[in-house]
Amino acid sequence: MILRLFSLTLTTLFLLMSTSHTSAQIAPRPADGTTPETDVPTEVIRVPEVIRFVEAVYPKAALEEGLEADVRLRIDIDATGKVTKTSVIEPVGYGFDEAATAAVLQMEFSPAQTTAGPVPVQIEYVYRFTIQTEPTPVEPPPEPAAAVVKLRGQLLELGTRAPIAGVTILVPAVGQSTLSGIDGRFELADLPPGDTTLVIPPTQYEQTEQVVTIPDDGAADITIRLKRDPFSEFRTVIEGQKQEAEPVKRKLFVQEIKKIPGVSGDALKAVQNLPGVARPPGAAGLLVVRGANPGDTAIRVDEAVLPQLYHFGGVYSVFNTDLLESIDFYPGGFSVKQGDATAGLVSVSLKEGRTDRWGGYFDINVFHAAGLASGPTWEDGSLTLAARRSYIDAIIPLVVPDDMNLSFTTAPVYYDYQAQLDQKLGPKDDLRIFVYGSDDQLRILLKEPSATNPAVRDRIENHSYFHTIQAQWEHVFSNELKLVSRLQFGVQLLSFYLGDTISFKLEPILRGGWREDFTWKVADFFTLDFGLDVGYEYATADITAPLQPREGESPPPLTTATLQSVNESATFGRRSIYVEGTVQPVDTLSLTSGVRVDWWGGIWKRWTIDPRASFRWTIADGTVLKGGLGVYHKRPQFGEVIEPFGNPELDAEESTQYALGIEQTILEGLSVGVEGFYKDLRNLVSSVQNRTENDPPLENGGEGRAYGAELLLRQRFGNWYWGWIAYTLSFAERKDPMSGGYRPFDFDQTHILTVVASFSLPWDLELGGRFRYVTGSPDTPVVSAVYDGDSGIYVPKYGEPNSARNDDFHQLDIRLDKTWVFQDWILTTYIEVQNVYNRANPEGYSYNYNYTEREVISGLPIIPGFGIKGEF
Amino acid sequence: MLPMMHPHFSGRRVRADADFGVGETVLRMRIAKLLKFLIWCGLFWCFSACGDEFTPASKVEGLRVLAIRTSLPAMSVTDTTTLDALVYPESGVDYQWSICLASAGSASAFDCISEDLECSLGTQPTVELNLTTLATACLGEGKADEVLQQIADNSGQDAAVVYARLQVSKGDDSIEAVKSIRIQKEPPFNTNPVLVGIKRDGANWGEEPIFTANSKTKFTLLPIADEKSRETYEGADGETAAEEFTYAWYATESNLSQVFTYDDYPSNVLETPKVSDEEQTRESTLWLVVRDGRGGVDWLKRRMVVYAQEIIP
Repeated sequence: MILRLFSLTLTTLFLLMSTSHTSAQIAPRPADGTTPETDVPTEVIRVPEVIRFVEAVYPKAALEEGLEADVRLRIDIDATGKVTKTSVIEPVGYGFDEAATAAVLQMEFSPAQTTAGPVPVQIEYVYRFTIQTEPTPVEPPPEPAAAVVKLRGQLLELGTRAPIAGVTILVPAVGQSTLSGIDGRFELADLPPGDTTLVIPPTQYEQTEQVVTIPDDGAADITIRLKRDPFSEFRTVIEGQKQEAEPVKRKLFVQEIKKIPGVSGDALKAVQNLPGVARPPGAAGLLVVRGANPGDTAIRVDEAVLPQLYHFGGVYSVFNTDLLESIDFYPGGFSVKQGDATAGLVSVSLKEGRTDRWGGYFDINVFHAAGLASGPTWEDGSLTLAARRSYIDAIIPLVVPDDMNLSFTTAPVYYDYQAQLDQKLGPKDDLRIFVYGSDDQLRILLKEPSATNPAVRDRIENHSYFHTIQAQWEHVFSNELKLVSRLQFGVQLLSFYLGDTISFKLEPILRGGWREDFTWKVADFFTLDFGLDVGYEYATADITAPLQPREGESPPPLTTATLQSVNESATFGRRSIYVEGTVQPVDTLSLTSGVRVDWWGGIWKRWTIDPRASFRWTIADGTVLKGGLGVYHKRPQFGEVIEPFGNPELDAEESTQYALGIEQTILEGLSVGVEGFYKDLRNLVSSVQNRTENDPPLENGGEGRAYGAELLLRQRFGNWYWGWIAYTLSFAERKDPMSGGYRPFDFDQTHILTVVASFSLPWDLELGGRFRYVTGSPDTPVVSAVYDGDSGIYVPKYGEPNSARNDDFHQLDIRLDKTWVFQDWILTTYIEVQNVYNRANPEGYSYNYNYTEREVISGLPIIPGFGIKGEF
Repeated sequence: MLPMMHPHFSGRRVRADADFGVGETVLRMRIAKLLKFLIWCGLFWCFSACGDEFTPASKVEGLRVLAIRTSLPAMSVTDTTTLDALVYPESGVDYQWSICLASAGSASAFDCISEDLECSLGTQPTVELNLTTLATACLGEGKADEVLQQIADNSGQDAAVVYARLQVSKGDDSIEAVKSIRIQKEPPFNTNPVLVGIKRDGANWGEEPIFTANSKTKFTLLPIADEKSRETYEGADGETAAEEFTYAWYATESNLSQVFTYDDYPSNVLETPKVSDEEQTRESTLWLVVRDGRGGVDWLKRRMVVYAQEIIP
């Protein structure tokens, strides 16, 4: 008699992204089967388990030849535990593949559970066909004796102490095995007394053997720490993304942000490496997206407004990167859920605090020291505290020579802080309270005035801060209806002084916000999102300054400019509603359409209506066609509507965006996407030409267009190598009363190539590099100059706006990380060298006193940097 | 049957803790040194990269316009003022004066809104301007009345501004310069500040040339303005303010540490030229220009002869 023995192995849920405290992470699986580059990983709290096993039919030919086989399958399991799809990873032939596939399709699993509920996942599964040649008489199995647990253990990750779930523990001597649970714990019964060797086969962790002594009486306890293996082939098994309304969304995970060379682990600067983003000058923290002004792109934290982006305009984000789960970047075509932006959207998602134990890190780099602690509070709650402070102020006085033309009254200093409370209020209610703030101060005394601009003298003083609290409550009414409510309130100061000439002070700025976002799954094929978005700003301005130059304009020297003054308070209000429907008539097609209506009140009253639509169509397995179009509005800024600096009669700037693209999965983890875009810009705020005293300085006289294509070839993070090649072909032009016809936009950069690559090396080293090649930015040449007898300086005469270009930019940055993994903590150091071959990249020109000579202002030279981080 | 699906099975045990306390103090010291080095590099780049290679604005070597003065920096539309300029070299230079009756100012590099509104004033080093007379002669009576009325209307709000334009040329070199003239309906009219002298290392530096044998020597210079010429006026915020003087320094041959100084830091440092034995002497001329920030200008000139040896005639 032949006994067919079917053994199975769940090959564990290996991580899409590694984290410090979760045993496994997943993301919902896309319906279209594309390789995801999107969506937030969610913590897995229970892995799928087999509820109903189905025996396969042993292939007749194989049986006759005495063949055995292991069939490795990839199985998609939906949120109910049903097997929706299988594919054979390594075909073995002889009918085994078909037999295993047929059986698995009939099997049932318990669904994978995450903190957000059951989710569809993909797992690897081995269906084993073996033949036992010794006939065994069929006898009723004896009643199982009560098993005596002889060994209790727990698998933890070395360094992070994160429990490791779903890993097999073998006892070769007795032929036993078991899997670790969600808390990393496992038990083995009926082990003989004495020394026993446990074997944990290699997964995403290195293979480990551990000898444990089993007592005669009772059970042994053991904790085994496994070391993560960067070269493991058993990674990235569970993956996915949810269906997105937007045609293009690019995601950066915190783990890869921290390793991108040249950005020093800064979250927002990392976005500058994606397609569609122009290179800002120098180290500026500007986001120039698809030929739009930097302020035209919205940046949101958990859907709320981020009051300030960077310390000192570009040194570091005001945000601690480790608080973030991920960053979603939409270069265009974003949903009607967000407004007041005519270009792109950067949506920052906060990470939930850890609930298993208290942990955190300290971090020291060239600019600042930072610390973070996170841990459980009471049941189902967590608290995260983080703070950073720069210490440049302590060092600068020691290194600035006495004969330098400046002294620091207040050396540059910044700090920021964040506190986040996550609390589960019940099975259907989650609360998050987030308090954060930032402060920057700088005061310099110039001992000598500038020779070409003597108004630049005496003091240069800057102080800015903000403090914000926002609360988010998520309530699930039913499987079909969910509500997220958000409140935000904050206070902000912006001030800048240049000698006694220029003063700019906005204090206080009070900002409030309220959002209600409903998601209603009306039917399996139809989802409705709707909500309201209310914002309020109050600001008091005390400003003495010249009129601000607009895009494309070259301002005269400050010394010769006419100053304007204002001292008044004003309010901005916004009440917005949106509704968006997503129809999925078939699994492969998703159509999204919506409209947003904004009513602006306070000092500037207008209506704007933004209709938008998009689609995603899976035209073949792994191939998605996508596109969208929409109208976008942005209100004028405070300084653009208050007199005498602005014009209260301005209209909102407007853009119409068109995009069409295709995504293709090439290999597992490797994907390519190509998108073409066209953007039509209208009502752009521009200066009034040849104005008289009674004319307002600004009008909606500008137009613009931006068009091009973006390519992203990306190897997902999570392997021993990762990176991307981003290329943007872009043409951005403006037309305004100053130029007459179309001219290049200030940041028009025809070719933008960014190559990011990182490789894990032996000895816990990781080496990364970033290379950038960018067409030189446009420049307005000086053609002559006039001596101004009132000020004693020359005033330049400019040629056609942006009619010249700087030389092309190219730069290589490298980064080397070294990690030491200790029992309970991890120490990481890195060395980062920017501009490795010391390329003198032109950023502009400096001129002599009468503008007859000029020299190139080069970007940053070769700059080494380093940092140390200890995680516990 | 065990689920042995992995291709390799080389055993490795969990490794023990490593000792990281060794050398911690040394590490801290090295980090501090490195930080200091990096910040110094950054500062050096920030503050030393711009403009050091250019000839300083204070060094006079070729054709230069150093100042333009109107005897009445502010006047009514019927007043007459005299315009002159401090130009180097003092001779052999061609002058071309004109008045632009309407300009957007520095925002358009003082271009005249219309060529028709630019009226010639003459080619002498010093010229006289009466706006009414000039406009009538330049534009004709009807157009002149219209333009003058517009100027008068604007001057009623605060002040209208017309620009005197000066083109100086010598050989192939030429310089275009402008100077504003405020047109007001009513007094008080601003007047020019008055420079009375310069102190060199605390002593008065008179109009007679100074002889010095100390080449490459530094002197501290201090401008002396007539404080009675420092006027008060009503600022844009309605507050009464005193004029703040700006000093511009220029020299041939010698080096000056700054081109501009101010009331708060008025002094400057002059370094005499290095004179070789073959040269015997070099003469250096210094010009000091004072501006009151409201169109008022004055200047004076001083000379210095630097000898190679300690031979003072």
